[in-house]
Amino acid sequence: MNRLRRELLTAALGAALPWPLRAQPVPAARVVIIGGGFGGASCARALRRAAPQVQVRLIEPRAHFYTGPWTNAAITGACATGDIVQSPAGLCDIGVDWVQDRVTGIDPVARRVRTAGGMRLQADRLVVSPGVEMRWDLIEGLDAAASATMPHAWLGDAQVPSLSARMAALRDGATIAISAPANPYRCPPGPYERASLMAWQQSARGHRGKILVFDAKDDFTKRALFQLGWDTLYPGRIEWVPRAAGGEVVAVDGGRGELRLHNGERVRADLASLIPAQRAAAIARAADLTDAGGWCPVRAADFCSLRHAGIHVIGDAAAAQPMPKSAFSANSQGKLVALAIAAEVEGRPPPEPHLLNTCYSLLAPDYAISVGGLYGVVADLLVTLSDGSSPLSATRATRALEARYAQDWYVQINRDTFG
Amino acid sequence: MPILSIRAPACCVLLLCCWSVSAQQSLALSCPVCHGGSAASVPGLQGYDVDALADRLRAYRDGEQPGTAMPRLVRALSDAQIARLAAAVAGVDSP
Ligand SMILES: Cc1cc2nc3c(=O)[nH]c(=O)nc-3n(C[C@H](O)[C@H](O)[C@H](O)COP(=O)(O)OP(=O)(O)OC[C@H]3O[C@@H](n4cnc5c(N)ncnc54)[C@H](O)[C@@H]3O)c2cc1C
Repeated sequence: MNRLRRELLTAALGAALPWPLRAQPVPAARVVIIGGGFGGASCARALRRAAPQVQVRLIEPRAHFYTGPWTNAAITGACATGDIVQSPAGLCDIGVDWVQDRVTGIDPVARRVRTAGGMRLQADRLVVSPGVEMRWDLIEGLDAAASATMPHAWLGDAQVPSLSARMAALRDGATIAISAPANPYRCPPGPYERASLMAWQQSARGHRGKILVFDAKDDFTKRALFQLGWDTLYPGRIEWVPRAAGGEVVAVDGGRGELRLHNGERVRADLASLIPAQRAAAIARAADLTDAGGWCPVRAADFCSLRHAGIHVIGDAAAAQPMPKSAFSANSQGKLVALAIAAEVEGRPPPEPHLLNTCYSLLAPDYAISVGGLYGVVADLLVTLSDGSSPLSATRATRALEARYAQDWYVQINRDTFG
Repeated sequence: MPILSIRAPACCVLLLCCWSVSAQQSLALSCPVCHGGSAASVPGLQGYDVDALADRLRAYRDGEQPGTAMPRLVRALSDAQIARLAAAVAGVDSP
């Protein structure tokens, strides 16, 4: 008998004694999910369907948030910010118990959870999907206040409408600076999609202008495809400055809106969007689930924490390379974990661990490129079984078709995750 | 100026996946992220029979059927894996 079954049986035997007095049947297992974004919500939904006898509690403080996907479209007016709002509330319709609260502490050994609102919850299994937090320690002068003057709009919070408003107010001829972080971080193509759509907005408004991308790395995902697209759509408008050319931002002055680069140059743009380096969200660290790099190491087959038994970590917080930190990856991991928990509760063999990802990037509303892969487990390691990206030689009709797919993907993943 | 419309069509066909069959198939559960039936340009999966689905997946894998996202996702799958995947997606137990 596996461990969870044995634990549950013991609990059920104890609970069975005063049975005639009990109003509620004993749930087969109590699963507490922390974070109701793409990973947590998809896990909750899949678990309700795969194992209806399991009690699913989802703890998420935000009743509404902006989704990461399509944030770049929203800040550049390609869609409205109101179009990208999601909520965990729809999960209640399928029997998920959404607790609108913030987890303030996890005892990773006892699997007990404490919330800001004073709740104490005991779980048989914990699923942790809290996303990322920004690191302020790698760039001199960077803190929450300085960041607000150079919005990253990377966390689905008030910085999204703020950056959108700053974009809308830009004058003709404006210079925009984007600072892209070192790997790994949430949404690898995100900074470059942002540069593209900012260029699109400038051109759509008939504005001249310049977009400078300062990078803490020397390469980025789909680089040839992005640069080909930039040359085709926005010749001369977007300039990428890699780390080797001194492009890494090493210091900021929030008050003056100034960036200092590794090569000593000081840049003052009309608008800066500084995307800081990232690590797993604070609660993962507080619960002793992270390693020295700041991410949560997991077993590939079921995303069980390598640091504490009975806790799964999914989504951006997990160290799940070679999968990119994307909403699709988080959704796929959430479903795998749901099946793994259901199999354990029902005493069935574990699911075959296969995971998928596809990421579309918009270079214009009618021009998109994509990358995707299939992932599996070989010798206990998460590996890429196959992958690929849009061909460099694709026609404009194919780029337009991929833009339609991108749009449909966005509608569908939200429906699949949040209902 | 919003020029992209990302609202879901008011009426959409829900993908009815047979969860008991797909319980071992985490891969099958990822398909509806794109092929959930609510999209205009991406086909839903309802109504496919197992053989037609498996044929289509093999054709993507073998380069006989052109595509954008699909060929790269199925290139590494064996015939047996494709048969199991198709069965799980179509909601019918594999033979
Ligand atoms: C600009 C941009 C563009 C993107 N584009 C794409 C794209 O095109 N395709 C794609 O697949 N992905 C895209 N992404 C990435 C995607 O947004 C993330 O990968 C995805 O959200 C990860 O899911 P998650 O569950 O790990 O985190 P999230 O979705 O961020 O969810 C985490 C949740 O946990 C909650 N939380 C944190 N701490 C606590 C706590 N202590 N207690 C309770 N709850 C807590 C938070 O409130 C949050 O809602 C993009 C991201 C950005 C920023």
